[in-house]
Amino acid sequence: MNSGDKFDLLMRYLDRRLGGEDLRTFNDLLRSDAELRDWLREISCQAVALGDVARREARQREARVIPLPASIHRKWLPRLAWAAGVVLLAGIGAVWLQQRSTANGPTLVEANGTVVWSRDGKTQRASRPGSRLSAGTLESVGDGAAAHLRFPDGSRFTLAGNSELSFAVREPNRLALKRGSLTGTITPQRAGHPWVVHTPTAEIEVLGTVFTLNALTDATQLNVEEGRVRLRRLVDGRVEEIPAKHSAVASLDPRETFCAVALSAPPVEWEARCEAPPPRASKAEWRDANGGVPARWRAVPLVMGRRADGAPVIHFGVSLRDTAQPWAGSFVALAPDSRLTLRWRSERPTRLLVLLITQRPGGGFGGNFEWKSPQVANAANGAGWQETSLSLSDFAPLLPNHAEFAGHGLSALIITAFGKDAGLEVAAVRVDAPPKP
Amino acid sequence: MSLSHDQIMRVLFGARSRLSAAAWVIARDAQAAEDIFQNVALKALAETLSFEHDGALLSWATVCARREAMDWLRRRQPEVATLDADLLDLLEAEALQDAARAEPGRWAALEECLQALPSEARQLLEWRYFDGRSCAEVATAAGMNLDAVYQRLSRLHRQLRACIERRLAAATPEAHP
Repeated sequence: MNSGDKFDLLMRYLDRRLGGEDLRTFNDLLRSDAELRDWLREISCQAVALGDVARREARQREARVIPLPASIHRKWLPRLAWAAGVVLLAGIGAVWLQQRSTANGPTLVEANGTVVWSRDGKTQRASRPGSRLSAGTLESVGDGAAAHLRFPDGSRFTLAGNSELSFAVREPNRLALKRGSLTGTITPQRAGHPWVVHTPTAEIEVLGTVFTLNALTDATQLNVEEGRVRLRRLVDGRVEEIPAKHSAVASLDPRETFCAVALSAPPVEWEARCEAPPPRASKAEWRDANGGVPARWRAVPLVMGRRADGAPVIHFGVSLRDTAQPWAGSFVALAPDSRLTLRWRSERPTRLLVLLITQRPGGGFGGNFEWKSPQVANAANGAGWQETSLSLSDFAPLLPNHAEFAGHGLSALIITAFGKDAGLEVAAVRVDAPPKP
Repeated sequence: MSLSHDQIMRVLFGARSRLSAAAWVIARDAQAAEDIFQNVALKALAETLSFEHDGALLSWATVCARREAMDWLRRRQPEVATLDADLLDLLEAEALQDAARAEPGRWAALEECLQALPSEARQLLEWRYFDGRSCAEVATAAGMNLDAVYQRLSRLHRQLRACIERRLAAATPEAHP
């Protein structure tokens, strides 16, 4: 095999297009050809370095657009000089830290549903993975919407559901969660340089951890998955250190309990109780049993997104959470063999869309998964209730980076008839696992 | 005595390019390799882990980076296979012996060589390695066919390597008797 053929195989391997017999040939060739292995290592180093250079140049381009104030220059110039003097091993780390300190906007890693970026009255869709966002406000619209962001220091955030997050280029490591849910995975930070997230009622400081914030106008709930987070309640300035696997709520009422509470595991089975109105955080119209028709929840308009012209995308459906508060976590644990069973009917033919919104065991965003009925269902007759039983493997992940749900919990379940009002009603919802033999 | 958090970070950042490259060989995605390195750094600071010396930390980090890269690939493209495990071991052992490839001087030379490339070539490399586009996507964007993209990238990698070595040789002071 000549050098050109070897390089062709190498390029196809790196392009993830090599499989089967060709991959076996490539493996054998690499074992016996030290020069080819050397090229593979060379190209891997070039690729990583190219990524670093391109990232740094992108940051520098933005830094030129928005000049730093003189005080910032004074603050950072000595550190840059120090970094320049540090060589070899520590040098790489120092460069990384400096890059972080001159952080600008995040990169949108992935998005699902309607995600809108706005600044100074300008609004645009943020949907293209890899696009870099400058200072502004990011809004995810609809229960199933989510945006996954990565900041230049590697810290990652997921904005989920109806949420709004603001960030500024000039204040690196500082975010404002105006409302909704934000899960953060913070890379280790230097002491004294924490990430700070503000909400209407609280402020948190983190130095390297995994956490989730749920913000309402009158209360903020914090779940800590890994590490520790310092939570400050704004109403009286009290501070609590919240450890891993714990939760706390900071509200506007100083008489309310403000302390860390251990997160508990949800049950493995759950059944909705349609004999009563749904919990406060759910969205459905409750109809009591009458004339032989069982109690049920009827679909109501749900905002599932927003069109380019700003008009809301409405689906008629039932949105279930098993708690009074939207943040209170998952209500049933999901296992690979869990099954979801629905008893439902509709007045007019419709397809069903079922959306699962999941959380990781520590409360962080776990991903959204959807199932669409493959065909138009027949309209029910007077007594025509249908039972649909789904395995979790029937659901498709909506975000590639959040594609696994085993071990997660279900925090919301949305059942809709797509866009139209088909008179959808749900009489029973159950999540359980088949009994073990 | 176990390594402190500062020592762990120093060792990991010192090996950052090697660990990222090890993840890249499996995932073949520069952003994923960067994410994987940062995940490994975060995990290394977990209270449940302790490392007696640099070697133990780096061995653990290499295995961890490789496993994360495989998990990433499995989640993203389960149908795509990677190299055999013994080859990954061999590549890692050779990378350890070839520390010069990851040294800062070499990376600085690469940066200079990139600046010297024509903008069209830079664009091609950025699409491929910064944006993470597949060669087919690069071909569409550049108006080329797939084989032409493979050949162009191959030439650019050879060109960059030759340029780096020229610059490093020029920067090395001559020995005097």
